[in-house]
Amino acid sequence: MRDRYAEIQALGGEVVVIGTGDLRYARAFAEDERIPFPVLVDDDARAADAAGVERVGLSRLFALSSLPATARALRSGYRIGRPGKRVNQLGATFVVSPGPRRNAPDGEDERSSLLLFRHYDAHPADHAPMNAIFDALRRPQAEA
Amino acid sequence: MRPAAGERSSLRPDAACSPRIPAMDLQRLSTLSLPDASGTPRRLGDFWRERRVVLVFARHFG
Repeated sequence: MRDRYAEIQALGGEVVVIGTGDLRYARAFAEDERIPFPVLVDDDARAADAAGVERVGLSRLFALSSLPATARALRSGYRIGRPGKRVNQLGATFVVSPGPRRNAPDGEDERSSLLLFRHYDAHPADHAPMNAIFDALRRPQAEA
Repeated sequence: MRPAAGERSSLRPDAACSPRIPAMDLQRLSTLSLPDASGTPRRLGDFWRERRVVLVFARHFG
């Protein structure tokens, strides 16, 4: 995501990462990897629960179906640096958009949110396809 | 649960390991505040108030 961040910004978008590790890990990750976008910590899984992100058993964590993707990742040099608290929590990716403005009962101007895209990782080596993410970012507002 | 209008999903409904489609409560998610790497609380809904956001739940940092 970091490597495509400039393209995402050029489309007017932002990236936000939510991890399961504690603040020390988040801070080290953001500094060591020079992450230019916000990195947040979901220590008690409130956000993961609201987003419907799954926690799975060992059979899903080490599923045979994930082996080819895991092998490709290892060959590419990918390594897990700092495992989070909930190692059995799978990843997920969403594209969220501002929705139409509406008047709240107290007279304040409110804005709803729209979910344009979602991907729940099927196993640890699974990730959302970047082309689908960019399709969602590029979608005209009227279609959102 | 089918994707709502305007939503596209890359979920695999035929995945043998995960037949259920998770429930996503975007309204509740928008109200939550989480600390960033510096410890500052950040309200999630503020990120997508004015722009589209790619929101990534990562299993681990790095």
